Amino acid sequence: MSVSTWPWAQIIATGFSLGSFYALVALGFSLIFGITRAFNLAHGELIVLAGYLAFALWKFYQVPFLLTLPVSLLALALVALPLYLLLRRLKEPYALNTLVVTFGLALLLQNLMLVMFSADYRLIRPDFPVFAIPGANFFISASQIILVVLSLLATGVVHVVLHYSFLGKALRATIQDAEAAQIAGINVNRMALIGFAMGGMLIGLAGPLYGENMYLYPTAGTGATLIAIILTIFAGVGRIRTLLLGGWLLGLVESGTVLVIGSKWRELVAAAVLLTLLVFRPKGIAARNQE
Amino acid sequence: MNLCLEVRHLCQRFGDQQILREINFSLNQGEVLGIIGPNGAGKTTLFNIIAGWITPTRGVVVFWGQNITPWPPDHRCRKGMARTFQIPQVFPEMSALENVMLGAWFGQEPPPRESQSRERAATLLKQVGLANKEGIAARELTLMQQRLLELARALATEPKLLLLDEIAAGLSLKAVSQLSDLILRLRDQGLTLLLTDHLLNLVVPVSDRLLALDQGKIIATGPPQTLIQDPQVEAAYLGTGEAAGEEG
Amino acid sequence: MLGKLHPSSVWALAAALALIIWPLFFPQASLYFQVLGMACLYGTLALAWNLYALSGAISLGHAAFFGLGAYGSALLSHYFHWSPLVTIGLGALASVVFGFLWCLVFRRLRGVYLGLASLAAVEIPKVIIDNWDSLTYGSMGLMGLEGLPSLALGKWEVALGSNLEAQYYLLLALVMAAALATRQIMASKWGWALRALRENETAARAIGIRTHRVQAKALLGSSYVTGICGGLYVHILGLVEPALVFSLHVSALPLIFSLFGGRTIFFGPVLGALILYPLEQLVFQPLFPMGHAGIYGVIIILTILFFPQGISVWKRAK
Repeated sequence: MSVSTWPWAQIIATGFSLGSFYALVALGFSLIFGITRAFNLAHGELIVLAGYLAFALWKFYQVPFLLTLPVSLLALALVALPLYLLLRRLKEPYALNTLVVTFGLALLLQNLMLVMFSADYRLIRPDFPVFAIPGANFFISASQIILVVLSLLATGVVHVVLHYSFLGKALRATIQDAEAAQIAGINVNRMALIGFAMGGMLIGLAGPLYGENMYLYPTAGTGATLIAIILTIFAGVGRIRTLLLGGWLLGLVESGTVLVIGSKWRELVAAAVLLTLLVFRPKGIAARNQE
Repeated sequence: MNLCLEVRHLCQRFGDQQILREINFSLNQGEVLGIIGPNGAGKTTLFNIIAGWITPTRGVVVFWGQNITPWPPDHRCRKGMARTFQIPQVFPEMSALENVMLGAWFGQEPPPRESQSRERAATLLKQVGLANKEGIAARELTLMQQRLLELARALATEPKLLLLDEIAAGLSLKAVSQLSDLILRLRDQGLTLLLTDHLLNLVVPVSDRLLALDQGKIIATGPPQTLIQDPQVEAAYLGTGEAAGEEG
Repeated sequence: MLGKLHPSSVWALAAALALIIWPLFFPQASLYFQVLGMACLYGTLALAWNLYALSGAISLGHAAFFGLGAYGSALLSHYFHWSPLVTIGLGALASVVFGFLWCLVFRRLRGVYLGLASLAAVEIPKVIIDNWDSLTYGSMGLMGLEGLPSLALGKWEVALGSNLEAQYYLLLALVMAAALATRQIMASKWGWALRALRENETAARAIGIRTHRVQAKALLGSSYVTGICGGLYVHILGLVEPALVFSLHVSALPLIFSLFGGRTIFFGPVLGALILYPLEQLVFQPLFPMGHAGIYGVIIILTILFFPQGISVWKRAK
């Protein structure tokens, strides 16, 4: 189909909402990596886990969808604590060790979720209205609006905390150079703990939103982890505006691609993007913070 | 006199920063040349270009009449240019003997047999004073011992030119004096040496000639005794050069 | 040629003997033939992965080579009806080609970033094969693949395809050959170059080692043997599909077995496979019919935490 018949409005709307969500997904990963240099390959699995939690609450306990969000937020912040303690014990080479350990964690979580929820696809389907935009030929659902609003809100909150609070200043110092921050008197371990807690909350927010917009299944996490890694490498650490921008770009590219060549190629496109980024920035973001 | 090394019109740019400007000098066979300058002067960059770890933006490096500018570090080593590192790069899990043996085994053309390499390694360890550490894993050694180990390993590659990068950094006066004696003995055996030094306690006693760098340019060159009295060199070390020495 | 006998080599020899003669005491143990046979196949796979890891590179995406070897063999077998012994050897060449591309594209990547790139790289052959329905039958895969052939030596005929005991001995022979080859490699000059590269790449380059060439050889060798394992796997199973051969599971197992058993000793990966795989299949699967593979996740976490050098080194240190 020719470019002129593409439903541009739909692409842009989907790309924008998807992209905002991608930024949210990546933000948790980026914060944890930035503050502690830990590579959490189980990031996506944790999001899916949070999604399953929200699903269980919604389906079996009739908890309204919006209320599952604070529960999930809290739960995942608590889950982040043992993860922090686990990763703290690893020795050199730190980044590689965290990669392998969280690789194992991802494997474990995938199988746990398989046992707990089976391989069936799940979706949270609250009774939300769908709005038709008068004049244009497309629809926006309330879910999409919630997705965008919450993603942007969370991103905004993190940005404000990082740039306008004293804690944020300490966090940013740790992100830029943990050794120097420690010498300057910042308790780097506490920063790491806070980083994990914040990351956990962001994961807890992303999970239910994921489960409401996309199908939940045990191996769904790998796609989310891939997105998180792509955007973190693209944007660099702690650069939230660039992260958001990257998210929107990725969202637009993906919704455009899905339209043109079908959704079966999504994983390949994401992988190709990551590979391109890695090849042109072989040291990723770390190089900027080292001599 | 044979010309061991020539550096012509060397310039290096990183992004929008000009690190080295028009560096020209040469080194004769059997000479000991010391490159000095404050932090940020460009010594390390120049050193890494000569050793093959950075490709210069402009200019050539000529080794025994051959243009080696495009050659990677391993090629340079096999052709007779060995180096040590400011932070010793040893093989941590291997013994001191194995570390040096690999230098002999891989660093020469044509390569010797494994047994010959082992023997050579044992001899060199004795020469640098590490004979009693032969079987110890390299990561167990002190900083000075690791520097000596690296030196022995570099020598094992049978170099014609030896590059020493801040080999005296962080060492006691006694250790520096030990090193000086070692270097002078190597020079007497016919080796050509190029050293960088941030402080002056090593280069002054061992060098035939010094090259003073500041902000990417050569500001003075000559025998050590004359150079350390040169007002420009003094100014570079004590004046604005030092204060701006935040990062190299 | 065999060199000095290290105490650990004596243990390895004893274990090898045990593996050869136990069937004399337990005939008709077809389940054990199957499980131990697979364990040997995974042992070979782990050794292949470890060859690349010896150069210092931790790959999280070896499933790409496994799957390409599997599909290479399956498609050749399906379209040309050649004997699996031929198609497996040829099919693995597809893995080598991919390995070659990998060398070119990932040339400057190290450590974590190499791991990530390898993880992402699996998607490329996987999605292409999944979508190229006309050639590969897409996500449906191929069923009814020809099993391993029967070998005839004079009067003796060994039905490798249907006789589980024969299959076991074949896979055992393969893993033993791979282990011996690994041992030879590690003691060779190239083996020392790999070790130097692994311990300190900068130092290796500084003393004249052609690090890129050394690592490329390791990757190409690793990819070929991994491809062979993929080919064997699908002909034994009789079917192939993208989700089966390009899975995270396939990428994870050789890593786990090698890390658990010990990366720096030649039998380490095999030890890991022979201990963990039967454990998972015979003990954990009955307990957790659905999520039994999760035990591998636990094992990798515990290994990195408590004995990062692998159990063989841990045992020796005691």
